[in-house]
Amino acid sequence: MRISTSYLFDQNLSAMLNQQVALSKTQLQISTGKRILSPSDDPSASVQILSLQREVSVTEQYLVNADKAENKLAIEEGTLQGATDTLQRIRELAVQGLNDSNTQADRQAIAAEILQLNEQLMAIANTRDSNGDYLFSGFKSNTQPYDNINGTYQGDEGQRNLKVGAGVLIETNDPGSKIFAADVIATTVTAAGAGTLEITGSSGVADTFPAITFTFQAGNQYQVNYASTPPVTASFNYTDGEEVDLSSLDSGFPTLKVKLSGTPANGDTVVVEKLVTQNNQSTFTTIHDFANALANNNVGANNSPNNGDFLTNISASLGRVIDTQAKVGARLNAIDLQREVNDSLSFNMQKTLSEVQDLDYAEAISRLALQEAGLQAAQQTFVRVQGLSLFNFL
Amino acid sequence: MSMLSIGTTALIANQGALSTTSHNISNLNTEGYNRQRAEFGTYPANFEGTHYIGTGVQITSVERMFDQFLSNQVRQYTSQEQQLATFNDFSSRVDDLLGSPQLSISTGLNEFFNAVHDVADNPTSEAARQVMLSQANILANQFQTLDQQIGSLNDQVNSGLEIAVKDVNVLSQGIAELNQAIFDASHAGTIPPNDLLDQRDQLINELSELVSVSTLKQDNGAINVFVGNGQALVVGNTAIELSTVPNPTDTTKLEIAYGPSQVIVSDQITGGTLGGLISVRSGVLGSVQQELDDLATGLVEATNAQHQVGITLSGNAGGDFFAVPTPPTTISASNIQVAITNPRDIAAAFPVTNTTSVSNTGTGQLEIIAIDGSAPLFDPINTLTTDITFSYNSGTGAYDVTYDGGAASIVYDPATDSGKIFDLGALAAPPHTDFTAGKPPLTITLSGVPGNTDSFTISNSVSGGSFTAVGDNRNALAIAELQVSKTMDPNGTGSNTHSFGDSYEVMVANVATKTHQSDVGQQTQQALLDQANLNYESVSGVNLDEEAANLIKYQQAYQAAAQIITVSNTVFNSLLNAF
Repeated sequence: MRISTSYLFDQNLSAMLNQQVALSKTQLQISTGKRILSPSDDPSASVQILSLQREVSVTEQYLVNADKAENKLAIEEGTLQGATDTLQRIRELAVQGLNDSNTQADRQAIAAEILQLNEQLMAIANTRDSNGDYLFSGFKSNTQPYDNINGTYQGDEGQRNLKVGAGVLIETNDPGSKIFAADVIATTVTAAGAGTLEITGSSGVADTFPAITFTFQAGNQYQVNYASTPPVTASFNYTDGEEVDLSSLDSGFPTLKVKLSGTPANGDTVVVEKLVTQNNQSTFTTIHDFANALANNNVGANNSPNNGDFLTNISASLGRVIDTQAKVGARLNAIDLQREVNDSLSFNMQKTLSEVQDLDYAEAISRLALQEAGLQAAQQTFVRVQGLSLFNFL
Repeated sequence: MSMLSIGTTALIANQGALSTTSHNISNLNTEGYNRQRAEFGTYPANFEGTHYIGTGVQITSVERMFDQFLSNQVRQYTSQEQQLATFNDFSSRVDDLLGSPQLSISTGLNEFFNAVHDVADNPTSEAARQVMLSQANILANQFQTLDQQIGSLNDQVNSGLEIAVKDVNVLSQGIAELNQAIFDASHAGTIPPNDLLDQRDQLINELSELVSVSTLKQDNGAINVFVGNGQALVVGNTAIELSTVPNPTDTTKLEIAYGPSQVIVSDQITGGTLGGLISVRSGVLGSVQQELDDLATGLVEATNAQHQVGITLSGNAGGDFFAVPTPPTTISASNIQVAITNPRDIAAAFPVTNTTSVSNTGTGQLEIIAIDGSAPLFDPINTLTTDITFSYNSGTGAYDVTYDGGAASIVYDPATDSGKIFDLGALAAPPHTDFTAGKPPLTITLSGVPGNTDSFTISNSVSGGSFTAVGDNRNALAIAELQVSKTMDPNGTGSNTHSFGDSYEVMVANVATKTHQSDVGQQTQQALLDQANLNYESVSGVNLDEEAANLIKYQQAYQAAAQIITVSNTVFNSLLNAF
């Protein structure tokens, strides 16, 4: 086949230019460290890169959210620990104050300390975070949840969720209304007629019990009907002022000792029951009422709930705080677990991303050397071939 | 016939051949030159009664070494290669734009939604809100920049079309003129004017770089040239012009028109620069712009729909987050912008809040999970016309609900329904009883074990102009969720198939694939073109070694012919000396 001189020239030239293009691309790959310089270099890999980058970005944001949630919950946990300590101290003081060996002056001193601790507890409930947001006012971050001891909760029930994983929301606060309030129980005695009843001992009594009705009957007897399930009935001979241990009458009764007195007529009744008298009463009110009763020495058997029943009530309040602490702890654990998941996801995705988009330097550098040699060969060939001409010999 | 005159014919003929060789050597680098060859033939012999005596040599013709089939092949591959090269040139620029980390909508979307999360993490922080606005502005800016870049590539396509069409017209005119000149010079088609033929073929070659052409040779030597579906560019000595006219429905696009009546023929034009420009415009630029607009529209509509059900930090209705242009202008990548300037105007809060009654004895819970703001003139401040009250009736196992002076009942069995979602706007009866008056635009979940008469009240967050639930992040969370929700590209049954990020990735994949294909295609066509050129040049190209050899050959023949003259002189002298 004939070869035209100009075609030979053009072919040699374009061979060199092509070598240069390839060389410059390899050079750019090496200087950027990226295998793919434009999406068209590898369309499916570049889409995979975008998709992985998005996943990594989302996961990294989940990790950021987890840090913030953890931070908020750690503050809440610490604050609640303060509330627990304070409530426990109040309970100890109450136990001490309820001891009959106290004089009124002693009780006044204890009551003063309880009131002081109550203020402190309210200050804890009004804690703000570093942004100045109240921890325990729900969504009403700028509203002080408790503005006075006997006031109502000013916040709302909002719980702020942070997203710490795909489909994983973590609550980062608890409203004060769910922490600093508890049901209040009280023992009530209701007499109809001339008979009276005094509770003399209630050690180990269940939190609440339904109505126990004492009905005076002919034969100087009291018939006792306990509205439990199943109902319990009993009767005993009446002696004015004598203490009766109900549980000795029938094991179905609460372990309650009562002293009946007076001169009842047939059909006169006395009802004693221990019931929830207030749902979700503010803990501050509960404590405040008890301290006032204690200072006034009004903590006897008939002063429920500001007597031994207060200990049940303060325990219920403490229970609310401890329950919340447990929830916070569970959320912190959930965050840790989710963080591990996210960390490992992120690590794996970054690894895949690196595999897809990063350059294999060893391969690229040996390719560069090869292309360099190719270009040199093309250049040398060009000069050699162009030198060949019959005209040189004419 | 004497030796002298025979010698003279040889001198003349070989001189002609030397001239032809010189012409070949001189035109080594002339674009479109086809090598020529002098063809020798004998002069008619003299009849001498018993035999013929030869009378010498003459150049019978100077042949142009040209193969029409190979030439057509070169033109065809030139057109195809040029079309793909033009396509690839534009397509790879779009490819680079979409792949650039600075312009990538993908990065912009990621950072915007991360900023939304930061607001959800801390809705009272104006700093976080400011960052969200900044990221939204950056994202809007990326849309606009990308749109402008695509727009400027469209402009370049337009000016490319204008230039190419002008060049086509100049070449057609040249071919028409050469048709006339060739007719005039060829003595009615008997003697080929080689250099004029070369010039015409070269013009047709150049034309095939601009557009795919077909040719038809006429008996009078003229070549007629056609494009597209047989639209004639050159007929004999007449050229018919192409022109560019604005697209009647989209004046930003220029179209190719044919002839004085300017009929639009863009769709019929293939090959060459023109074919490449037309195909890259419809195949890449147009679709990218459309997909970019669709993405902008999807983002604006979904974000606004969620944002406008929310309440701002100042207790106002959320309104539009991204600005919506006044009809008939539609949302597009070119006009996307953030409507909000004050960070407090980001609506991170839900418009309604739930209150659990203090006297509840059970563990029942109610959570509001979505607000339906689709009603015309929906106003989040007055999402509810009255409070909604829920009261559990353990006898009937249902929540009795009152709203707007009407009532409804939601069957709820704690054993099986805890965590179930209820759309209050579409309660299915039975087992539920739908609202008898207005329907609340809320979706809720119910969970836990409620006690008898346990109750909840849902009321508007803004009451009497006062808004205190500033720490509410539920709407910000809902906006952040749009990042991973499928909100784009509904399939046949109307369910969305792509998130914003997916949609952008599909766009990048389309462009990358087309660019890659055109790159590979161009290389293939280039290889075919190289092969065709090699074949063509092997017939028509000048080889200097060959010409050098020819020089020697004709020089020797010339020298020999000169010897004939000398010998004839000697012979003549011998005769003279005889006397």
